[in-house]
Amino acid sequence: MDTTKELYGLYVRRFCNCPRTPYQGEYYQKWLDLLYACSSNEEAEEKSKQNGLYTAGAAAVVKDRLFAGKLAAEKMGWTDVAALCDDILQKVEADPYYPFTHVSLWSDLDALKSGWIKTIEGFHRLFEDFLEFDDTRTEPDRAISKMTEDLKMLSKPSSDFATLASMPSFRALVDCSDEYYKEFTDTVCKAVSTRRLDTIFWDTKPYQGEIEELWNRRDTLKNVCRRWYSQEVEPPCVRLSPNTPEGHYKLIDID
Amino acid sequence: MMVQGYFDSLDSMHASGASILKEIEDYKRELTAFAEGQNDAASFFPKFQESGMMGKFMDLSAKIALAAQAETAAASGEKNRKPLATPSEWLEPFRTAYETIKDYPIRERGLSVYRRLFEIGEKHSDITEFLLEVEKENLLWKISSEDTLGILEIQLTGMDPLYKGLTYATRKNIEAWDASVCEADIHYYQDLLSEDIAKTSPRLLQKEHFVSCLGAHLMVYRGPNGKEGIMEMIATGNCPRHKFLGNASNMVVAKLQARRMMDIIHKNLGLRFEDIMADEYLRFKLISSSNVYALSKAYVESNSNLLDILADAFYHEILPDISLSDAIKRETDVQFGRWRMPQGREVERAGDLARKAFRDLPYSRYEDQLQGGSIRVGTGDGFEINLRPSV
Repeated sequence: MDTTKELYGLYVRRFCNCPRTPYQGEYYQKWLDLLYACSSNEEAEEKSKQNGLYTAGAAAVVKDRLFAGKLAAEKMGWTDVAALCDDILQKVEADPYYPFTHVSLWSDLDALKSGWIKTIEGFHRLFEDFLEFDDTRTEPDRAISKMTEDLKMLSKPSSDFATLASMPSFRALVDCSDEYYKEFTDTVCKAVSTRRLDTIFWDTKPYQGEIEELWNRRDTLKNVCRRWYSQEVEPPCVRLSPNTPEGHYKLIDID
Repeated sequence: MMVQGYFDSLDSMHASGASILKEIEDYKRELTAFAEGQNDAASFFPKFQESGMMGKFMDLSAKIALAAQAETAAASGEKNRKPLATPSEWLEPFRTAYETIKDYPIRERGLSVYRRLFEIGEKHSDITEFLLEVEKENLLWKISSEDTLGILEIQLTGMDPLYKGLTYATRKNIEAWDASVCEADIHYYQDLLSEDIAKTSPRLLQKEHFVSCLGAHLMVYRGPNGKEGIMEMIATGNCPRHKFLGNASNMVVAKLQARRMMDIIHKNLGLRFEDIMADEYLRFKLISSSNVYALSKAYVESNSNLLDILADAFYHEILPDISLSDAIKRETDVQFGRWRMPQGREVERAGDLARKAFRDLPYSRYEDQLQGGSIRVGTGDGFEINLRPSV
């Protein structure tokens, strides 16, 4: 019996020391108390059957998983996920077999979580759409179409882009100055509300003289260009990454 | 069937009593249903653990052992009492699992935990003493955690460590598994990680997206649709006016767009061109490259001088805004030759060179087991599954 007590003592230590497993900690502590209160394993078993401890182990595992999910959700501000974890926890308290008769509870939880993740992914995509557009400020219809599609990914904590964009946690998703962030958010809002975006017309007219001059001087540039053209085409190379973040790339010509 | 080992293990404990026998039957039904829902033998054990089924198995085993001990005590002196399960009998399903994965070096960390478990099993004839030593080292959790950590760490060696947008998720997963002591722990960390990775990995890529935009303009300015094309037309005398003027216009527009993007980068990221060039990772985002080995461990590129060619164009032509004619003329002053995009055979050769250079990496040893991008894992019952590396 001493070995059993020592074994259950170790279970207690592991689960009570872990902030995510209070239910298993409590379960093993009850077993340990029972073992100390009894003079034999048989007596402990009999009593555990009477007080329900005998069959409480599996429910403790599930409750800890739900508790851990609730803790994580609360830390991230995922209120609906935390509330559902809490709700299921109460149901498991009332019926230890609930998780095994309602197996869809895990997919229900995953569906709720995915709304939060998709919103973050959608916000990132919108910034990429904006950067792609802002690079040249051309093809506004393509940008509007992509933004419209990616806006559909937003749902939690709000489906409204402007509301999300004003939140510090979403501002932190984008690595740029406040001025550029404002340009990003204004551009997306404008795309949504007006279906129009400010473009740049890359006018080469002011350079026509320069372009014509190049055309007219092509004969005088012939020797330069021939010298360049007579050179061997250099081979492509392979760039090998280092094995540590402090290392350097190594370039090897492909012969 | 893989779960048969668990059934045999429970049966070998010779439980008695209507209540516990019903519990064993319920568990068997539940485990069968769980196993039928799994189509990936390689991930069976982590899922077995994460789902709580492993915990229930442990729990049930402990209960049977406890009941049997009580029964033994009560029936002391009786000659026909049922023997307790030995550690060896109890370990039977673990031996089946070990046999399934023992030929895969990628699982070495997990395999070493199994071997430690068997070693402890050899030392003890008493199940409680055996479980006590197993718990002291938390080995039943480590079967999952060490196996996963081993695979993740091998995958990491196949990644470019400077490519933080890629390595972040794997590094964070390693931290999470390393910090976890039980399944509730890993669920907690993975929930937090799902948000952290969604937030951070794309953010780590944003800077390089700006730089890639700049690089694309520099490539147009300097490449076959810009300056190089004009020089080739002049050199060969094959110089249709519309094409010539098209390339010249491209040079003008690319120059304007590059200057504007450099301005955006400077204003919003605080980076100057020299900062980009000084950054070991970021500067290569100026040129286009394709991964040719492992999980972005080696890239094929046009030319080892291409970065210098683009930097030369930026500093001496785009920034000072010299005329197109002067830009062509100054080619006599620079030492750069001609370059082109890599062709199919060269891409293959690049892959071969990378494979040779990285042959000693753990990832390369793992890759030896790959067949068409996946590992074939036999499950011992004639069924095979693919284990794909996840990034």
